[in-house]
Amino acid sequence: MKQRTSIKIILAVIITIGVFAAINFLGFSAKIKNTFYLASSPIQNFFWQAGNSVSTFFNTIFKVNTLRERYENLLLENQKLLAEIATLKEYEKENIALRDALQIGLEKDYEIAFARIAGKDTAGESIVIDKGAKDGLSKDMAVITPQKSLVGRISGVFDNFSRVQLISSTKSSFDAKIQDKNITGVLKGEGNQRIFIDLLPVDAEIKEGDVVVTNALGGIFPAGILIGRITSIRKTDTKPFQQANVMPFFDLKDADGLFVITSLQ
Amino acid sequence: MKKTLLLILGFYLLILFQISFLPFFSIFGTVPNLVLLSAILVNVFEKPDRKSGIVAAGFAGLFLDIFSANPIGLFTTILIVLALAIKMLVKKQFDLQINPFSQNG
Repeated sequence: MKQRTSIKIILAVIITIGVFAAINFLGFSAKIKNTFYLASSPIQNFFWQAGNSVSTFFNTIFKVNTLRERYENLLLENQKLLAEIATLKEYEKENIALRDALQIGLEKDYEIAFARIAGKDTAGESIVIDKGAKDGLSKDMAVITPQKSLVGRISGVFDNFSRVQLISSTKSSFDAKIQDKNITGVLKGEGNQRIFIDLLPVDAEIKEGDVVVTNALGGIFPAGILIGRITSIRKTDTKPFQQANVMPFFDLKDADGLFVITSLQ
Repeated sequence: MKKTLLLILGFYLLILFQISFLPFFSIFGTVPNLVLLSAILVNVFEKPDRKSGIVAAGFAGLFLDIFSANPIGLFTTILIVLALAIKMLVKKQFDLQINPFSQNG
């Protein structure tokens, strides 16, 4: 009797392992996940909007003291940027004139598709967006915010949804550079929305506040997309390279819609 | 049966809450895994001879697999095994309390 029960248990375990292996290796896993995401999206949207509203409410209450300081800093930065825009507009005019003279067309940088965040992965290293293979998305496409800050790249595609591996994921590693300086490094994720830039030359002059952007050398992301700002530098005499902590521009709590770069022009 | 279905529905709503509401309240980028915690607590506080906790834990694991990058079956298996282990421990503790002088306890 006991032997029959043991055989039944072993058989049940083997069948269960077989079913799970079939689901994962025969492609049913993607279809099952897509169906669940599709069915759950109304409830997820409700929770996401509710979370956003409640979070904004409490943030306003708890951060009211820092709001004035942040407002004044933003005013100063705004004035500085307006001055830069004025200079850049002059360069733009010159650029257009030169292109006309050389007969080179002004093309868009890349084609984009809009997507909304449906949820965040339980491990916190990826998010799910509401566009998938049926919308023309494929693996490894870059995802950015409307402000052109890098979010991550598509790591998995279902029919109607896609999984985006965040740049702060521990599996994330790609070429980056310090804006306006010829200093390149490797941007790595540390999990928990933390990133740092590694393999910077030890004699490179970098400082807090420097902006980090993508470098096209790695072939993963288009060049020039904003990543974050350096907050502190890690330098030791024993290592041949220096590292720097980076505060990403992208914040999940502020993100509403995202753009997927579907093709580069 | 009714209790099992309610537990499964509860876990389903909880996973959606965990991935869509709680990320806005993360601490150092981390969100507590309420589904895992609840599956454990259900089995701890349920009577050892009841099976609904084990079935519900299996579904909780399935939902964790579906709404993550894990292959389907990973957390399902983990939570079923965990639920069985908890039941065994609770049963052992329960037997000890009834008859602390039992040779088997």
